[in-house]
Parts: sequence; C-alpha cells; structure tokens
Amino acid sequence: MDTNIDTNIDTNMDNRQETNHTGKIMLVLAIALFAIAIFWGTTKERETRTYQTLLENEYQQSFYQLLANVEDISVSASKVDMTTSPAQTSQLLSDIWWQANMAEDNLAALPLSYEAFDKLETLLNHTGDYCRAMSKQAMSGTPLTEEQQQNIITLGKNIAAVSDELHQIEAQVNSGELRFVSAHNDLRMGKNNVDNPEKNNNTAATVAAQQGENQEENQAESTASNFNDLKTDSIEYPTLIYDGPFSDHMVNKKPEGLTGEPISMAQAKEIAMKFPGLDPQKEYEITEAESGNEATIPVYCFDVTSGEEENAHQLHIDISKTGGHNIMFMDYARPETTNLTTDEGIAKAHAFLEKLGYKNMQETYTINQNNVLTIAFAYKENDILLYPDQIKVQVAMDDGRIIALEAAQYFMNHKERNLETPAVSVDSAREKVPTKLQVTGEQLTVIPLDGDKEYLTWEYKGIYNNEDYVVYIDATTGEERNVVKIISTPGGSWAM
Amino acid sequence: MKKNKRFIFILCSCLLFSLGAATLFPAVTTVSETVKQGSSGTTVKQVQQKLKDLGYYSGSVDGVFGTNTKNAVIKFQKAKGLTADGVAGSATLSALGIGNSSSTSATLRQGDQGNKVKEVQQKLKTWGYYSGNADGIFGQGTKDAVIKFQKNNNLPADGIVGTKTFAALGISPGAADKKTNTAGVSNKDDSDLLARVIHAEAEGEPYIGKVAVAAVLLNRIESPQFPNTLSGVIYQKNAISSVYNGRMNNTPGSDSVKAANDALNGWDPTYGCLYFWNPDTSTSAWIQRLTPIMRFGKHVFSK
Repeated sequence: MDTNIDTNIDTNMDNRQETNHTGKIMLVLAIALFAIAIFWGTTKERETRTYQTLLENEYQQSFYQLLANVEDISVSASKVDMTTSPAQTSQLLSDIWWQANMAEDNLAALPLSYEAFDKLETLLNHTGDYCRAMSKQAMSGTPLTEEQQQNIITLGKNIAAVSDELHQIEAQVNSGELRFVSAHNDLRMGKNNVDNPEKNNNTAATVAAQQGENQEENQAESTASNFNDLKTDSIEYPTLIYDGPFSDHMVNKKPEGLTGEPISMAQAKEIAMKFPGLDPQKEYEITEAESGNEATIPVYCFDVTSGEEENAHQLHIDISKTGGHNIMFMDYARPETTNLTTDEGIAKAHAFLEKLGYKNMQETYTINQNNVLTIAFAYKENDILLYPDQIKVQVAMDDGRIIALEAAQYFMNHKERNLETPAVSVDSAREKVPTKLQVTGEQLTVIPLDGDKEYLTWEYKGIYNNEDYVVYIDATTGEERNVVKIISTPGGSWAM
Repeated sequence: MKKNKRFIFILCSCLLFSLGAATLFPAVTTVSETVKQGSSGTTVKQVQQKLKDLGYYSGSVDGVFGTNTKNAVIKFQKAKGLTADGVAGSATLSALGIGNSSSTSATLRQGDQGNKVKEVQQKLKTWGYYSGNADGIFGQGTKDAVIKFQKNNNLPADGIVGTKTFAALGISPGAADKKTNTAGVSNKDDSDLLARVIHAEAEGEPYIGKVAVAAVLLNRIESPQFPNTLSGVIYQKNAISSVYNGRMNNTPGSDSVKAANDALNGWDPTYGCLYFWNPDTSTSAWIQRLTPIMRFGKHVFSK
C-alpha cells in the first residue's frame, strides 16, 4: 500500500496538471475525513453518555434501596422490646435478617472505598446473623433475655447512625452535587497511578485495599470523598454471644484436634518424605516454606519436584507445626481418563488413609470431576458417624494413585466427645420422618449446624419423587434438625 | 521538499482513513452457511467426506469444491428429494449431518442426560447392576453399572453405551436429549465463575497458587467483612482488579477449572486467608501492612 502511493507520487510529480488533480482529490478526501471524524466522535460521545447514565441509574437504585433497607432495620430493631409474643418477635427478627441481607447486596454494588465498605458490611452481617440466631431461639419458645434485646437495640442504633449519614449523601445525590459515576471514576483513577504507568496492569487482587489509601491522598478535591468518607467510627459493637457462622468464636476458631508437641522444620521434612505418594527410590528437589502463625493451622510446606522441567512431577505437602500431622497434600499431575469404578477408587483411598494412620474412617459421598474422584470420609466412633471430623481424598481414576488429601477440617474439629446413648430410639425418631419419604437407610450421626454447634441425630436417607433426601432427627430431643436434598449431577452427588 | 510534504500528507490521510474505516465498519465475519462450486475450506472437506462415505463422491477429499463435488451434491440432493442445484445450503448440509444440528452420535457416556439414559438405568436396575435412582443423569454410578454390565457380557468395559452395549441391553440406540437437570440446580455456575477469576488473577502461577486464590475468595464468603455469596464477593466493587478491567471475562484454561473445583471441594492451602497480592507490583501501603501468612508463586496471602 505504502509503496504504491510512493510510486504514484513519483510519476505524478512528472506532470504538473495531474498534480493539481491529485491536490483536489486530497482536499475532498480531507474534508470527508474530517466529517467522518466529527460524526464518529459525536456518536461515541452520545454512546458514552448513555452508558454513564445507565451506570449512574444502577448506582442510584442500589443506593436508594440500601437507604430503605437500613431505615427498615433501624425501625424494626427498635420495636424488639415492645413485642411480647414469641411468634411476633421471631417474625420481626427474621425480617431484620433478610433486610440486612438485601442491604449487603445493595452495599456491594456501590463504588465505596474499602474501609467504609468493610465496616458497614461487618455491621450488617453481625446484625443479620445475630437476629437470625435470636429469631430461631424465639421460635423454639425461649424468650429473649433483657441483654439480648439490648444487643439488638444497640445494633439498631448503629444502623440508624449509618442511616443518618446516608441521608446526608442522599441530599447531595438529589441535588446533583454527587454523582456515583464520578465516585466510581475517582476510585478507578486511584488505582491507576499516573506516575507509575507500568504498574497499571498489576495482578494484585485487592484493589479495594489500594483505594483505601489513595483515598487519603485524593480526598481534598475528590467528589468521591463525600461518599467514601461515610463516617463509621461511631459504630460500637456490643459483645455478641450466639451460635452463627459470623459469630466471633466461629471466625476465630482454633484447631481442636492437633495433638502433640511443636516440631522443627527438619522433623517435618522427615515426615513429609515418608509420604505414601512419594517414591523412595526417586531423587527429589525440595523447597521448604512455612506459614505464619496466624494460619488456622500453622504448617511447614514442602514443594517436592522430580524429573525434568517439561515432565516434572510436582507435589505440595503441608505438615502441621504442632504434632507433625499430614494436613494437606496435592499432586499437580492430573489424569486424562477414567478406568476405575467408584468402589475401586474408594478402596484405594481407604488403603491410603490407613497407611497415614487415620483409622475408622467411612466414606460418605463421592464426586467425579475431570477423572478425579473426590471422596469425603467421616470419622466413625462406636457406630456413630461424626460428620464434623471430615477428611477428603482425591483418587486419579486412570491408575488409582492418590493425588490429594485434605485433613484440615478433621484437625479443626476432632476431639474427645462424650457421646451419650440416644434418648430417642431409632424407631420413635422414625415417626418424625415424613411418611412420603421411602427410607432406605438409617444411621446415628453427629452433624454440625449453625457454625460449629454439634447435634447427635438419627440420619434417615430416603427417596421421594425419584429424588434423594436426607432427614436428621435429634436423638436427644426428637426434634427435626435438618433436611438435606441430594443433588445428582453427571459427576456425582452433593448435598444442599 | 514539496514532494516529501505531499507524500507525508497522502500517507497520513490514507492511514487516518483506513483507521476510521476500521472503527466505523467493523469487519463482517459471519460465516456463510452455503458451500458451492468455487468454495474451499473445512466445510467443503466435511461435505466431500460425507458424500464419499455415502458413496456419492469418488474424488479426493481436498477441501476444494470442484465439478466432481458439485455432481456428487446434485446426485445426493436428487436422492434425498432436495432441490438439485449442486449448492450445499443449510438443508443439504443438515441432510448430510454437517453443522450444529449434526451431533447425533448414537452413544451415551458420562455427562449425558435424558430419557435414553433413564431407559438404560432402568434396565441396569432391573438386572441388579445399578442401585441408584433412574434419574436420567449419566453419572459415575451409572458408569460403574455399565462397566459391570459390560464385563459380565464380554464387551469392552469402557463405561460408554455404544451400539453393542445398546444391543446387549435390548434398547434401540439413541443419543441423549440434552435436557437440563430437573432439580434446576448445578454447581457448575460457581466453578465457572471461580475458574474465570483464577485464570485472570493467577494464570502463570503454580497449581497450588491457583487453588489458593480460589480459596481466598471462598473464605471471604464465610467472613463477616465480605458479601455472603460467591457472586457478591467476586463482583464487589473495587475488590478484584481483573473483574474491574475485564480480564476476568476471558475463557479459563482447564487448570483453572480444576483448581476451582478443588477449592470448592474444600482444599484451602492458605488456611483461612482473606487477601492476596503481588508484592512486586502492588502499590498499596495499606495491604503491605498486613502480616503475610503464606506465599505461593508471586502471590502473598494474608488475613
């Protein structure tokens, strides 16, 4: 193309008349180009404005919904010590719970700085979670104590304070002074440091965290600051003692099953090298590392490599710093085919667990994904299946080698339990099972609910409408504790 | 001098124009549904192969639509009662079993669903090979039963129901009708979403580092400081840069999908971490104030 023009010009220059002609064409072309450029520019501009309006509307919708949610929560919470009937209290509290959930959804949709988001999200989660636990308590017939009521009222007051802040922002939104799109852009700008363009594509996940600090720098002239400065300092938490997934004792849970003395890296390495997945004849290259002590289970990590770079065989092994237990193991090599049946796979996994010294483990469910069979095992004691003490093993279904182990959950929960003989017999518990369910199996189990609370229950597996269900009846009180539906997919089944 | 100037001007306007044209008129890439004389390519190859298999075409399968191919197409069209124009349009292509309407392979394998699967399950159940539900989902349990059945009947035990296995079962062959799961639930949506984030955030990382990134996102669901659903955590504003800049919308590699499944199945190599970052590229002082707990590849993990 370029060379063509080049030669054209060369010949054209020989003839003055033709040159003038070319000049005219050029002029027309230039005008046409200019017109196209203007047309293109205005179209793009209009398009951008449409998208911005769309985005702004989305933000405003979320914002106004959030406002409605927090208003509802603060009003409902203040009613708590005015209600007397358990049914009414329970209703009111579950209402707060789902309003808090909705508020969280709307909050997550807004372009907030990380710090403001963090505090509001935590407040909403605790409020919702606590109210849900209290709702359950009220429903089961135990009225709320004075302290519990006061906790809810305190949470409600915190939410009301946030609501006041949001009302001030609403005034700015209403007058057009604050546009979320600009707040959004400011946050984006913060991310793309102008003086450091090559870092723009960084892969660090928590941009949110970066926003937090860029915020401080840009505050003065930023429109976003109005919104992101959302004052959350006044939030004061009551100490909440309850059973729920977000309760403090759940979040800061410590392992209960780690027995033994602290060991050294060298000792851990010795244990790691005895791992059944390793071939003692082979030469391995080992990289050592260790986790910080804030990890839920502090471990020594070993990356074990053998073979050449292309066909390198790589393993990752975690040994606990306390007691030197095999916590986790993962083989990077993945199988391409399935030649084994599930039963054969389970037998391989059983043999592996026994080699590692885990006894009395029973398989509970399996799933085959990409030719990898994942088997969940639960600890069995006196014929009682303990679901909290769970170990997962992965078997490569081409040759039956073990490619992964996960025992962290087992060590988080495993402990001496004083399991009583069930007060409710298997037959009388069965009367609580819906008659529609065609029961195919029963088993005494311990199940975890509401975070980490454990219940001794009778488990009834059954079929209804060609679908699998599992019903749990409390073996101490005879109450129905849980209903689980088994979802079957081509890869296997899992509980929901 | 003057010559040079004009040359530059012409060059510039040409460049500008081609640039403008490219933006204004994006290339039309719709694939034509028809192959006829003069066409070439893989579709032509497919047509030739099919016609050859059916005995209409005797030339070479070279992917060039010549007179011989045209004559073969006309013969085929006449035989099938189609308009005998020698042009392989959508009707002819589908009659040949080419195109997206063609996947009528008469085998059932793991992952298939539908009434045919149900029929197979019921047969296997009555003969005692299968103990699960006849739910029309070809899962591992069904596969196990098929393998057992095949072994007992001296068929190649591959767990795939092909012509021979169908015959042994006494069922007329047929493909699975791709029906969706009756329960309306799937865990594929979660692993898809997770796999896309892994791919965007940790593509070059070791496998364990991929699982770790996924585990962080799943840990956030359990944490009170973060949204309580996977989509909430992933699409939280300003939380994950690859979601922000659109890199997350690329198709994930198979390693990312496997890592997503491992994390969903409970593997957490970070032991409860909620943040990860790349210390070489992260510009945030806030995040560097966190105490590192783990390190995999380029990423540091913390609570």
